[in-house]
Formats: sequence, structure tokens, C-alpha cells
Amino acid sequence: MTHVRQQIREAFCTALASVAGGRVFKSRVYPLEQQELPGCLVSAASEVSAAGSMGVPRLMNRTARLQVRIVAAENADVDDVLDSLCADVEAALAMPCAALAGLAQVVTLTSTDIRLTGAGMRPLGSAELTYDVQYRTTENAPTVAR
Amino acid sequence: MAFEAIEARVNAAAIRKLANATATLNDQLAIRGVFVQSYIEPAGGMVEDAAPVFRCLAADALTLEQGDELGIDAQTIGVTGDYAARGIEPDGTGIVLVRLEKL
Repeated sequence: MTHVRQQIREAFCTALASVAGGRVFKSRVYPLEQQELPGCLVSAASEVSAAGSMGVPRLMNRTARLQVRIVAAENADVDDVLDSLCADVEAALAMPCAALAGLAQVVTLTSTDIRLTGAGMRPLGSAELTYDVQYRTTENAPTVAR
Repeated sequence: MAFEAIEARVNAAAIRKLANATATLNDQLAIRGVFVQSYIEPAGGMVEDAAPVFRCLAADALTLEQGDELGIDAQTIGVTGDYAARGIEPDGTGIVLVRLEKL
């Protein structure tokens, strides 16, 4: 069994499978090629957790922070392209999300960070959507969502 | 010979000897210069990209403005295509660097 955080990450990719023409990459560390634009990158950034019960094994309330980064290049209105893709991502991850059923209790979009640059061949933009994903496990079974 | 005259001769010789491209401005004026597209990774290293620029004599690009179209012919390095001037940066010594956007 895999950690629930990994299952959530994979569920994000499943939910986003049709976004950006299917160019969705999980935890990619190498840069995208031009022909992979627009692309969507999914990764886990951090997690906070706290005990949610007394006794052992304790129930752990966890909040994983996942990032969905959209990257697009267009000669005109790259910000419009980004916003359109953001809309696709937000709709795909809105609760209730079938891919996350049984894994996450609450999925919340907490911020969107948009950046534009003209440094490359064409105007390039990125939108980083940050999601807080609340889920529970017991401390001795982090592979099973409660 | 005054220094500025030497500078102008050196610039002209450098562009003449090192030019690898002709930029045709708005389908009219042909300008010889050096076309380079260095590899870059913009957007925080998330994308493989290149930063195309064209260097030429400032005197040859007096009418160039941001947004002008430049047809680049640099066949010796395998580059031909249409670009737009997005940044025009004179270096103050007679050479101008034009930042390009691929159209």
C-alpha cells in the first residue's frame, strides 16, 4: 500500500486527466519541453498533522498542501489561457471529486499565484494553484484513509 | 583618427565578419547581424526555452520599433522565421541588441 498522500497526489492527476490536453505530470522535476505546453504539474509541497485522539494508535488529522502548476506559452493573451486552464482545474477538483472520494475529507483552493515572463521565445505564463487537502489516518497506518 | 571613428570602423567590421543572419524589417529593410538564441529555463526552471536576440549596427536599425516584424534568415545555424521586436537595447557604442519574440 502507498501513503495516503501519494494516493491523493495520484487522485489529483486522475481528476485532472483531461486538463491541458492531457499533459498532466506528477512530481516532475525536469523542465517541460515546448511541445508539452500547455502543461499541468502536480506535486505535494508540504503537510501538517496533529493528533486527533487519545490512546494508541492515535488518529492523525492531516492537511497536505498540493500544488497544481499550469504553464502555457502564447503570443497573445497568455493570461487568458492561464485563467481558462485554472477554471478547468478548479472544476475538476471541486468537491465532491470522484477521484478523491474515500481519501480526502475536504479539498480547498487556498491561493493562486500567476506569473508572466517575456524572457523566452514566446510570452510564457504560469499559474500555481495551492490546495489544502484534509485527510485522516491512524498514526500506525498512514496508507489507509479514515 | 578620432576614437569614435575607430569605434565605428570596429563595429562595422565586427558585424560584417561575424554576422550569421539577415533580418528583414517589415518586409523591406535588410539588416545584417548576429542572431543568437541561448538556452534558458524561465518560469522558475519549469520550461525548456530559448531567448532569441539579434545584434546589429545601431545605425542600421534607426527606424526599428517595438512590435516591428523581423524576418530572420540564419540558415547557417538552421533558423528561419518571423519574429517581433520586443526589446531594443542600444549599448551606447553603436551596437543594438534586439530581443525577439517568435511569431
